[in-house]
Amino acid sequence: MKLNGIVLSTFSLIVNLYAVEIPEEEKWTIQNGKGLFHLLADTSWISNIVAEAYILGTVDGIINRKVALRALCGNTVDKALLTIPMGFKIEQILSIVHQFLKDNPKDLYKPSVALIRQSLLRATGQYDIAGY
Amino acid sequence: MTINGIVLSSIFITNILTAVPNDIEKESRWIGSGEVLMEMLQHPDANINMFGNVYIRGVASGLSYNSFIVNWMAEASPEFQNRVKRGLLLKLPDPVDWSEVTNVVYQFLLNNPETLELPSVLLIENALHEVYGGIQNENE
Repeated sequence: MKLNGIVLSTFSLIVNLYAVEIPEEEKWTIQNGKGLFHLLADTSWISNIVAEAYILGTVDGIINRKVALRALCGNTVDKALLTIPMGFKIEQILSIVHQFLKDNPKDLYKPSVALIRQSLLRATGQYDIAGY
Repeated sequence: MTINGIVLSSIFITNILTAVPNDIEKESRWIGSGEVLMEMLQHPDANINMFGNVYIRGVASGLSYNSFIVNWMAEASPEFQNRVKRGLLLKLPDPVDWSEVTNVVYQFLLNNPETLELPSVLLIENALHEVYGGIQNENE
């Protein structure tokens, strides 16, 4: 695939998020597992880095939020929220998410954030009391 | 995209990737500080803009999903419900206008240049709180 094509495909995927006539579960956007998986499986570095930026943003958002939520809701909230063990590397996170999407094709219609969270909960042996 | 653009993008991204620490818990490590995020959003290369935009979407999704989980817990447990202060959880509009979310963050960065040295994840959170509500920090 030519670079122009790659850039265009990636842009279509990211920018055209809400085409009215396409049902929500069939859209390929980075916001759902299907789109995220497509980007991770793509061989272009642009697609991979876009997926990486989204996954790490999501993980940053989940972890950063946790401190404030603990103050608001008490330690009970720890049981439901993701904890990344110290020393975890970016490469591990990307690999875990990619493998989870590969292993659960039926779940790819779900929001990417839910799938990212679930993959990391399972990989780190945490019990998911909230489901996904 | 020109070769120049590709080379610039690669250098930019390599710099970001090699400049960050390893432990994921410490701070936003991929995009780093608000200065880096701002630079990405204002960069003439559309790909660099896109990385910044996508990172913001990821952070916003992570933040709002945690609020969703807490709400779910509150509905399932009356005891826990008492601990959750209603109206203080971040709630993005449904459906989310991602262009609006990105613009909210960009405007916040423009209006608060003195905060750009802070981790971008914190700045994104503050920007979203200003517009969509929610707790500001652990002391509130």
